[in-house]
Formats: sequence, C-alpha cells, structure tokens
Amino acid sequence: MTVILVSSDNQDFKVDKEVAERSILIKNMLEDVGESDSPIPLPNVTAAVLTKVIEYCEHHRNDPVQVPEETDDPRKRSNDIEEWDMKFMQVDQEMLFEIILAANYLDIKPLLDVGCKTVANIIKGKTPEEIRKAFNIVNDFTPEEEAQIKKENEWAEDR
Amino acid sequence: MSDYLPSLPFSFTNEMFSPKQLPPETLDVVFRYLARRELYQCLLVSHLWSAWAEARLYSDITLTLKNLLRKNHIPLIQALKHRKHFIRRIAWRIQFNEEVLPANLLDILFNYHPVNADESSSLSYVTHQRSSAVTLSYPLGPNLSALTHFSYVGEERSWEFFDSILYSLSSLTNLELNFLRQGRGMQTYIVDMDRILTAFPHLKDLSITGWRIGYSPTRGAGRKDRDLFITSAHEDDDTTTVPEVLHPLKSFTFNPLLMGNRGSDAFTFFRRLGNLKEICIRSEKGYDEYAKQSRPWAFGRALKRYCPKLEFIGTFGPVALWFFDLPILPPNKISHIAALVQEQIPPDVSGMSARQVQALMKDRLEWRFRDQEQDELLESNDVMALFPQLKTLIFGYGHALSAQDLISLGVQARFLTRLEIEYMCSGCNYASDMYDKDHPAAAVAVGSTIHPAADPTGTSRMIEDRRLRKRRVLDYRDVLLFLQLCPTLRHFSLTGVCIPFKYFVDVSNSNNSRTATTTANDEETPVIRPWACEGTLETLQIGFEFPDRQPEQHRLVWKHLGRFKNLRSLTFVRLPFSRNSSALIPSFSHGLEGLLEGRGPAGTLQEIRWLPEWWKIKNRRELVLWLARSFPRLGVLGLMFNRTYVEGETGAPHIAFLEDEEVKQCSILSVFVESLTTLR
Repeated sequence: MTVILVSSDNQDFKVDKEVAERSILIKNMLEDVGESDSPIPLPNVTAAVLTKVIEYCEHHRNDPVQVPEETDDPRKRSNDIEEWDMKFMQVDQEMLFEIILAANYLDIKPLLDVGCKTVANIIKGKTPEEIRKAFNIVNDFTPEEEAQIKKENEWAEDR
Repeated sequence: MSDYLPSLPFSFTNEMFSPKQLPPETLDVVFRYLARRELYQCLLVSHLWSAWAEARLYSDITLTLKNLLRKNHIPLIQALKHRKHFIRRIAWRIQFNEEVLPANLLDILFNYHPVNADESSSLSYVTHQRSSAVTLSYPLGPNLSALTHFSYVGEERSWEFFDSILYSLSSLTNLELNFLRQGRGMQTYIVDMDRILTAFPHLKDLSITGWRIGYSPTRGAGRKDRDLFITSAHEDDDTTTVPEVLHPLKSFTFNPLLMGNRGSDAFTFFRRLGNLKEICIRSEKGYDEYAKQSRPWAFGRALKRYCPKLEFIGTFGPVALWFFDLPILPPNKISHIAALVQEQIPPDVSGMSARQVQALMKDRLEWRFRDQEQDELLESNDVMALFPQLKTLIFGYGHALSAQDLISLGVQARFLTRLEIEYMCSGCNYASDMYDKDHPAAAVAVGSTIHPAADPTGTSRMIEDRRLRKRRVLDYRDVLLFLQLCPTLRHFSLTGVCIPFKYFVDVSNSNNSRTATTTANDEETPVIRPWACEGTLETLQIGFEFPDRQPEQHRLVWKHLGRFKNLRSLTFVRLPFSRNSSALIPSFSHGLEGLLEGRGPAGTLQEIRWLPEWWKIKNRRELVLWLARSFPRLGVLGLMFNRTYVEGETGAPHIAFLEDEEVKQCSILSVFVESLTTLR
C-alpha cells in the first residue's frame, strides 16, 4: 500500500506505507484517518528535504523499532554512525539542520539521532569561537559573564 | 525528548530560529553525544547553548577519588551545591579504603551530616571506619529528588556505609551496586531484597553483584550470615500468594548465590516481580564453589510461577541454569533405558585387547543413550519449559548451558529470536552432575551408591544418570541440531570456537538414521542439513574449520550460506589454529558463487566481517568487485588478517588492491583489513 506525502512547496511524493510509517507523526495520522487515500500535507518540510528523509526511511525500512529507553541510557547510547548514514549526512550545513528539523517534526528518532550525532562531531575539538563561527552564532556574553562561567565550571575543563 | 528544561534568561520561540540555527530542544539531543570537556566549550558559546550545556553537564556525574583529590575538587563540589536539580545520574567510583572523602560532598548530595564529626577540626573529611558508628543529625531527606540512576563500583566493605544513605534515594529507577573482591575471609553480606523493593518503588533496573553478596527474602537488613546455605527442616512447596500490586522492576542482575537459597521462602521476593522481563546472572572468577550449591530446578520453577513475562536471560561465567524441567524417572520406569544395554551388538573386535573392546563398547553404548535421549527430547513428551516467553538468550564465557536444554529450546521455544553463545562450555563438571534433589524419586539415588568395583563398565552409572536426567555438556552436534529445529531465530552467534566441517554433515558412527547423505550411483554425496531459520535469520556469527583446502567441502558451506534469504550481517569467527587446517576460503574455485544460489541474501546482505583466507586469493580486486556487484546493499566488508599464517609474508599484508580506483569507487562504502589482534 502506498501513501502520498505533500511537501510545503506542493510536490507529491508517493511512498510505501511501511516506509512512511518510520515517521511516528505520519503513522499516527494514518491510524487516525483509517483507510482514506487522502494525501498527507507536510507544511514544515520542503521537497528537497523530504526527498532526503524518504531516502533515509527507504534504506532503513526493515530496521527494528528503536526502544526509547535504550537511547536515553548512556551505557547503551553509541556515538558511532554507520557507513551509509555517514555518507547520507555529507550535506551542507543548511541541509543538515533542515533534516534535523524535519526529523524532529516528523518524529523519526533514528534520523534525529544521526543528525544530532553529526552536529556533535562538528562541535568536537572546537573552541567556543570556532563553534560560533561554524554555526553562525552571535556571542551574547559579556566578558564578566564569560569569566564567571569559566570559574564556576573549571573542573569540567580540567584534563 | 528531555526530562528537564533549563531556566532560560529570556524566552525563545521556534520562530526566532532560521533553518541555519538549531532549535533549543535539539541542542539537548546533540549534547548527549558530547563529553565533559566538549560540553565545557559549549558553556561559553552563547546564553542559549550555555543553559542547555550546563543542564547536560551536571545531569551525569562521575565521582572518582582522582577527581576529588585534584586541586579543583572544591569548585566541583561548590558547583554541585548549586546545581543539584540537574543531577539525574551518579556513578560513584570512590574507594573507601582510601583516606578521605569530603564530608560536605555527602552533605550536598545526600543530606548526610554525622553528628560525631570532629566539628573543631579544620579537616572536613570522614573516614570509612566511622561509618558504622554514625548517628544522623537529622533524617535523610530526598535531597536529590530527580536522581534516577545511581551506580557504585567499589569495595565490599562500603556496603555498611551506603546502607545509611542509599535507601534515601527513593526516586531511583536504575540502581547498580558492584562490590569488588577485597582480600579473603570476608563475611557474606545479605541483601534484603524485600527492603530494596520497598525502598525503591520506581525501580526499573536493579543490579547487585560482586563478591560475597547474598540475597535474602525477609531476614532483615544488614544481617550477615557466615553460613549462607541455611536449610529448613520443612522445605515445603512455596504457597505464597502473588500480591495484587506488582513492583515495576523490569531488569534484575545478580550473582549465582541467589540460586542456592534454601527454604520455603528461598525465592519468595520474586512474587513481587511479576513485571520482570530480563535477568542477568553474573558469576565471578572463583565462584564455582557457589555455583555447585545452585538449585536450578527450584529457581526455574519459582521464576516460572512468579515472573511469566521473562523474555531475556543472560549468564556470564559459571551459572547452572536450567530452562526445562525434565522429571526424574522412578526406578521402575527405566526399562527402555536398560534395554539399550541388552541390545548391544558386539562389534568386530579381532586384534583388540580386552580393555580396548571394553572402551569401544562403552563408547557405543554412550552414543545409544545419547541418541535415545535426543529422540525423547524431540518428542518433548515430559519436558516443561520454565521460561516459555523467551526471546533472547546470551551465554557468556564459562557458561553451563546443557545439551538437553539447547535441544529442547530448538523444539519448544516459540518466541526465541536471539541466541548468543561465547565458547563452548568450559569444563563445568558441577553442572553436569546436578539433578533435581527435591524430587521424590531422587531420594532413591541418594540412598544407593554404585560402587565402581560392582560396575566396571560404568553401565549402571550411565543408566542412573539417565534416570536422574543429569545434564550433558553440549557439543557441536547439539548446536547444529538446535539450528535445524528453531524456526524463529533472527540472530545467532557462536564465538570462540570454529565448528569442524564434519559436524555439519552429521556423520554418525552408530545405527543412527540421522546421517545427512543422499546416495547417487552408490556414492555418498554429503549435504548440509537445512536450518529451520533460513527464512528468518538476519545476523549470523559463526566459524568454520576444514581439514584441508580441498574445494568440495568449502563449496557446500558457501551454498549453505546462500540459503539465508534475509541475512543482513555475516561475521566469521576465527581463532589461531594449526597450519594444517583451513577456514572458509572465499574464492570462486571454492564455490563462493554458492552465496547467490537458492533464495540467497543477495538483496539483504549489508555487512561481512572478518572474511577469512582472502590473502590466499590471487585476484583480490575481482573478489571485492564481485561482492559489490552481487550484493548491492553491501556497505561494509571487513577482511580478517592473521599475519602468522600468510605464506611468504613479511611486513605489511598485500592490501594494495584496496587502493585500486574501481575498488575505492565501488558500492561497498567501507572495505578494510581487521587485524587478528583486535578480534576481541
């Protein structure tokens, strides 16, 4: 069975139901509407991003459903990204953030996790200034505030 | 997504964020994957990042003596003082055989303020010797009301210290206590399980393991028993009723001392654990003495009664656990067993000594006993599952899984999807000498001893062992029989050994009709019996050992592997062995194309790890390209390399083909060499 997803720029995407239901949001919508063939509008996701999301869901269509408790447990949380996902996430930063936003909106936890792991990997090894530059963030600290934070949290900096 | 929201200096809304910036709630997910020093850098990026990074930084605290004795431990403790509300997890790694422990740390975290502290002293530390004489100045309150995870790894003497503060942490959902071995001759400390379950009403995951830790139903807190194995004069059947309100505990890890509990209330605390889904039994090195005292029959029956939802069991180290009840036969019901002795057909013994003939006869009789028992297990007439809902079984190193239990799992386990076995059984003789000592028919065995002089062939002993349903150590045949029986398996792993090829074709030396051969033109053509899980298996980790490099046997195995139509991951196990034997050779002359025969994993295979013997192939480039063409979803190809056995090799292995442009551009994203030294 297939479903039709409609992006914010009104492009239709015909997708297997099994693939679409990797999104918990879509899965719940389909359960609510029952057997209806109506297209499902996704006003927060553009066609370019939805293409990527569908590609991800298609590749992972047979993956077991992730148990939320396992990913919240540091002992079971893995920082590894599998090869295919790593290649999938080789996109520009804007698309990376769009994918994360879409995964968050569509409630596709594995994709959200992969996106956030990718962002975490960008952060690693960088100074605060380098992080600001990488993500276009304005420094809104006063020098006094910065000094206070450093003093209160110096134990965390220690190697 | 996050169980807390940091207090932000001003309001943020999603509309303020362009797609070039991350929304606040996803920052928390990102920060989960950052280490302490990285989170520190994020504290200094912006107010928004600082708020979320601070919450994440202080949510997970690890306390070690190392970081408490550093110069900056005072800032750490002061920082904790004002950020207690962030703390969700504490990992306590402080050894109490060291000198100092900051008293104000205990005050900050646990409201712990001993009245007999030396107030006049400039020192603010307590020592562990004072723990047992402490009088609290005020009752312990829920100081860390949001704390959900507490784990402790340290010396066993710390138990008394923790006894005075641990039970105040009533909000815990996860509790881990691991007491390390310290010296000899220490008393066994008995954990009051009922008190634990009452003190922590929200607990989901409980692990209490370590040296000399026992478990009690209702014998009071803190009692120490030198003799843990107290026998009751009346070991009646447990008539305890199941309570209406069950504890939410889902996972319980313990050591095998628990399985040795005696008395009618030996396992009654399990009556509160009707929601239990997972148990792990961890045995320490040197725990064989305690494993021998186990009562797997009583333990299994108790769990069957009280914990019907159990679906995950893991054992690590010597643990005698039974999965099926095999009722002992009364002495007047063993005529079919005794008949096997009578049916022996004298073999051709010309040229053999009397002792050799005797040994041969005994060996043949053992096989007949084994085959008869196997037939009985396959019919499963009197076999009762103790854990009928099992989905996952994991047997770590030194396990005591028996042949009878494994075969019965193959026959009866309707939900089993994952089985992992590390090593074949490691000489745990105590497990193979166990029988249901609570069974009425067992009393006969206790009273009658078979003197070796009266039983020179050992036949009487063999009959008695069969009658008592004593467990047999499993071997390769049993593993393969299980795989031929179990239709629900999705993940199978057998590590630490390589199965010799001869066992796959199951050639028997008895009149057993289970020899897997077909006859064509009066010549035997060996085949490998199909596995029942060929349609379901997704991951397979296994090792093959061949007597030589003759292609035919390798061809059969590749063809067998080609039967698995849903296989996603294939990992080969290899241990260093003789130069005279061989692992599976991935070459076309040895039948590699068999992977594509039948329904095969062509459309599903994503990962091949530790591919052996590839360095013996001339055209390695073509091997990789063929795999890429034949398995379009293959993303990972790990090539196992054992420098010791590469003929003519000195220095670096022949991996130049990995630099070939076509290989680098092929659809397999990651092709790499895995050294044998990193096998484990």
